[in-house]
Amino acid sequence: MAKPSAFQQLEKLGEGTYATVYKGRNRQTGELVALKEIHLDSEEGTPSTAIREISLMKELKHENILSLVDVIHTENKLMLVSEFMDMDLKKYMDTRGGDRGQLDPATIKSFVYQLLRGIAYCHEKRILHRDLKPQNLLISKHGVLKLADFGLARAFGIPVNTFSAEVVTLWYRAPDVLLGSRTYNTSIDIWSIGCIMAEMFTGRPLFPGTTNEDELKRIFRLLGTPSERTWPGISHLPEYKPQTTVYPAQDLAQVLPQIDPLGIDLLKGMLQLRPEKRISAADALRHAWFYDLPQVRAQAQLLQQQQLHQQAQMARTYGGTVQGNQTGY
Amino acid sequence: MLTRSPVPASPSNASPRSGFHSFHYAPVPSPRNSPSRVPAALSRRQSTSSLPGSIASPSPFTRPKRYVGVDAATQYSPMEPINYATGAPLRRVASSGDAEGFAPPPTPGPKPMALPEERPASTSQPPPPVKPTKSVPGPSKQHSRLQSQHQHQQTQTSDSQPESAVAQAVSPTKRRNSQGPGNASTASPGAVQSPATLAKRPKPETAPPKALPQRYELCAVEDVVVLIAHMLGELIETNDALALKSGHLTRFHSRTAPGISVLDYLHRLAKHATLTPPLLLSMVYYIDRLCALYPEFTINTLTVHRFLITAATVAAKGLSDAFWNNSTYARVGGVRVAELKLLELEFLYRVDWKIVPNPEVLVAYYRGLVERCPGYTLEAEDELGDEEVDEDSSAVDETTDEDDSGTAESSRVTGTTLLGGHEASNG
Repeated sequence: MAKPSAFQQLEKLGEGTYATVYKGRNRQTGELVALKEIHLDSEEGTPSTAIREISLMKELKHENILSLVDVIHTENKLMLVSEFMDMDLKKYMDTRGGDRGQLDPATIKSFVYQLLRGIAYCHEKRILHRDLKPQNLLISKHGVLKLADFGLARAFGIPVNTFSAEVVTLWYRAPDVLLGSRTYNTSIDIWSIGCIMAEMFTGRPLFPGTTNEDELKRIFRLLGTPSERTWPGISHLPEYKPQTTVYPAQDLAQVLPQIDPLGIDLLKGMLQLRPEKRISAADALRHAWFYDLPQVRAQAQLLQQQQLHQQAQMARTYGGTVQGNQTGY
Repeated sequence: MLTRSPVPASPSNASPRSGFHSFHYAPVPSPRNSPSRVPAALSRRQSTSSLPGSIASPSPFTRPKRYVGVDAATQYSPMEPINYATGAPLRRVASSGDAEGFAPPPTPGPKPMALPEERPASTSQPPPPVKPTKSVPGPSKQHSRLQSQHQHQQTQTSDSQPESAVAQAVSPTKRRNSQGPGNASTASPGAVQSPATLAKRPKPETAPPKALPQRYELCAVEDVVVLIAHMLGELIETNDALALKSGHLTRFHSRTAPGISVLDYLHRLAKHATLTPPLLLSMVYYIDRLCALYPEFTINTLTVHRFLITAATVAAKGLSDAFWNNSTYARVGGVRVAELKLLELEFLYRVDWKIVPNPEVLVAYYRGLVERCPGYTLEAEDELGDEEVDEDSSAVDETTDEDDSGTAESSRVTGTTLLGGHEASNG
């Protein structure tokens, strides 16, 4: 644990519910960092958000997840030192986006892909993020996207069956959670990603509800009002109320003409009302929409090269040009 | 779990500032919903002592053996109304509850776990107070409810309980269901034998072990508590013998052993802090983690209580969406909230903030605990690779043992240096 003085505090970057974030500089290396300061009061001790955030980030090492460099504590303050990122996605859209904040398709594809990679990794590690939204996605100046803010996250591998329904910022909250489900899983993060993807295309939140009911209504208006027939078990969810207006599902492609057909197909997979029908992060990463992504192409090429290389090697081996000291194998 | 409302220790508990920022739902409802229970809970405990931090340890009768040794180096008058965390309240309670307490140890109850008794420096003192009314008979009644396993344990552990121990103030508060450690052993000095106890004794060997579910999350909390307390008892016994006298003082040290047994303390935490089996098992995992990363730390008579309340707090806040605020944990655990804050930070720092156990590891711990606890067994499995699992679990067990004993051997925890237990000064 470094000392607090190891970092020079620069300007304030933002203020959250339980923390203040500053830009900082490592006095030794000159490296820029983000310093998240959390006040500790006696009554609460270390906030559970901080415990979760730190304990989970310690488990998560991935290029699309903000990395925690150090945790420094004094008696009254906790300071999380993480890598510095230039801005969050919200701000990125505001400053780099088009007239309405929308982004160009290539950038969106790259961001969605990176977002899915980060969340696929979390899910593989049995961790739910539970608060995906543009403000919690950080973008570096090189276009790298990283998931941040794990204060609402939780591990789901061990059977601690107390899932709070009060998770995820309203606009990005999945319908099952809105309906009070306490048995949700990784699919709630996928719903959020679907909302974020659409928002990047239009520059506006997809379902900017004002209340729980309003949020549900907006969702149903676009995707159709579910029933026991389309969503078996829905009427048993704690907050379920029969809807007065039954909306038919709209065609996403018409509502979101900015998105190409393959993109619409992926988006439909992520915005399934029924959680069990929502596409998984791992499957989403294999979706055809990403085939033309440079990194995906590069990966495919790499694979191909490796295969070619192997073939060539085999040819050499069988061709008898093996060197003496390697003959054993 | 939400429906079960833990008994909030006090109204303050429900205060809005309680830090439920993030997971509002869980904790909030319970306090509100169970206001009526609050007073009850309080009255029991607090009636004896007005200090917020004071916990009256629910003292089951089984407490007899619980003589807490007073460390020569650290002893101070038991009458001293100290508020060092756990111990203090107890003491206080004891004094206030004199009426009830200080009766001769009601039962020769060997508690399943090796508690304080082994403390070397202990001087003899009055036996632990027992609850007034039923002090003597009480135990027997209780015991009748005890599972055979307890008796088993008791018999086994009984010899390990030296009588040299001093009874320190034990909280007289009663606790209805304390599944006390058995009082099977009559060996304890001055113990009063209740007929019931006697009658029971023959039973132990014959009673079939209690079968626990394969999946620990389905296991009754009380059973998990017994399993863990049993293991801790063994651990403490070993560590006390090896390490108590030599070694470092840690923040987890009490000046003297708290007057509540590990079993009772765990029961108390489980009940009032609503710990579920996964959380309890995570706490077991934390023992290994803390000992591995913090070699100066050993689980022994002096450290176990603070370790447990800290581990419980961290487990609940870090792993569950339903948790209480620190004041509640502090009250339930008998430490001051300011101290809990420090304990919590120390703990997190020492385990490098990695508090999420691997799910498979918890399964192994559970199996290991069951295996090692007399009187319990696992329900038959549906023809799965039982053996493999068993091996795994025992492997874990072994490593646990090694860790622990290793720590113990290099023991740096000492009685002699105990003087300045932080906590003590905190008060």
